[in-house]
Parts: sequence; C-alpha cells; structure tokens
Amino acid sequence: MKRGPAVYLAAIAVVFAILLPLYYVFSYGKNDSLERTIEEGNSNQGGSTYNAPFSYGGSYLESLVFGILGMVLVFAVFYALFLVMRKRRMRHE
Amino acid sequence: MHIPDGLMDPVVWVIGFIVAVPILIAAFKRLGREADEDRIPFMAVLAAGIFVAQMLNFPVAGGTTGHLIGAALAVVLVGPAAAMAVLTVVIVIQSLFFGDGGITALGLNLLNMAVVAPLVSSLVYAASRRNLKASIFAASWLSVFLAAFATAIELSVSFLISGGTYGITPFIALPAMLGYNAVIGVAEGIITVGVWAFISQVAPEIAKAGKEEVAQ
Repeated sequence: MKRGPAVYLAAIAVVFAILLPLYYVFSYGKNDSLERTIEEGNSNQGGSTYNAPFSYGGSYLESLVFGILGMVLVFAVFYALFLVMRKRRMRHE
Repeated sequence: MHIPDGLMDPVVWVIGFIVAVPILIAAFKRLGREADEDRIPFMAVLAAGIFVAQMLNFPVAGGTTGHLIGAALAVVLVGPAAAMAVLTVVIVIQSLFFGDGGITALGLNLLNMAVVAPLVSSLVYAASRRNLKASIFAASWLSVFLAAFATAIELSVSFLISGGTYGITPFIALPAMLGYNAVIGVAEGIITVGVWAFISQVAPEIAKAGKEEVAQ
C-alpha cells in the first residue's frame, strides 16, 4: 500500500456515506433472500439468544456512525490477530 | 444470508461449528506462517471494506434485497487463506457486535460465507486461463449460488430431522434460496469485476499478488 491504511479507510467511509442514501431509498426495511425464504416457508424464527451491543441503526446518520465503527473494529481486530500470530511465530522460531 | 438464532436444528448448527472451525483455524495458521507482512494492512482494509459493503443491501426482484458477500473479491485480491480469515473477522464482528447473524448460527454462517464461498471462488479462479474478468464473474456468481445452496441444504436438513420444528421444507428452501441468489450472484459478479478492474488499474501489484496466491 502506497499510503497509510487510514487514508484507504477514510476513502471507504466516504464511498459508504455516498452510497448509504441509496440503501435507504431502495432497500431499507425490505427482506433479504433468507428472510424472504423464511417468510415464504412460514417458519418460526425463534428468539435471539444474545443481545448485541450495537445495531446497524435506523437512520442515515446512525447507520453511518455504526458502519464506520464496525469498519474500524474489523480493521483493528484483523490487524491485532495478525500481530498475535506473528508474535507466536517469532516465539517458535 | 446471515442465519439468525433459533432457525436451525441444534444438531445442524453444532455440525456447522465442527466443520467450519478447524478449516478456519488452518487458514489463520497458514496466513500467520506465510503471509507477506507488507500485505497485512491491505487485508485489514479489505476486511473493513467488505464489512461496510455487506451493510449496503441492494434491491433484487419482487421486493427482495441482497448484499455482497465479498468472498470472490477477497480471493482474487489476497488468496484463499487470507480471504477466509478476512471473512471470518467480518462475520464474527457482525454477529457479536451488531447482531447480524445468530450466535448459535455463527458456525453455519462461517461455513457458508467464510469457507464455502472462498473455496468455490478460488477453485474457479485458479482454473482460469484466458479471460480473467469472465472467470472472476463466474467465481463470484458461483460463490453466492453455492453458499445459498449450502444454506438451503441446512434449512432443509433442519426441517427434516426436527419434524418441521426448525428449518424450512426443502420444497420452499431450495427454489427460493437458489432463485433469489442466482440474481444476487449477478450483482456480486458485476461489483467484484468492477472493483478488481479498478484495483488492477491503480495498483496492479495487488491483483498480481492475488493471482499468485490462488495459484499456490
């Protein structure tokens, strides 16, 4: 990567901010393929066994904030996992 | 395509963990052993990008929506083992922090989107000789279609072994999942080819390294 990861993350956040209104116009509140299949099959989905601390939000601003939060979280966790793996590898060598 | 809690028979979701976890551990080990350290920031950025891309559902047909899985995109850019690791981190964070996909169904979601989809993508992409764009499109479409097929099979088996308490009858699960995802796969293919073509233009070394990873 020619520039630091922060530049690319910022670029992804900008593209996300631009595309998110389209999601709200065309897709928000509509079922995805699995939800539609569950609906067609009249299946009882059962209850959630775990309450996640966040959601994807119900408005443009909420989704933008949670999307960026998730993006940063994914980046940090992936990087941290690699650092742990590298540390283990160096200990074995 | 994220399976929620309470939909699958416990036997089926336990099998999901039993099958997916060892494969993903092997993928992480391979990544830790062989990955070029200079490529790790790109992989982490790719994982972040796939996370937000999966949030952006697009309309398909008849009021149904779909979203990118990103398995084929990850495979063509970073190779199969890294793609599995990328998707694992995305799916686990979606489930644990955002409630997208159940905790009990995590093994099945990992199996479908972080194992089946990247494996299919890498097999198709590795077999390509001439038209890279066409093979990336085929890899993308098949990854979505076969991940959906796996989900439909899990729904059907859950229904059959639980006597209808869990899952969905195969007569509905198979045609519905395959029908919707045949269309979603086309969008996945178009997006994947588009992003790959863009990256090939601005950073050809990334696309080249991805092809070499798949060939190994």
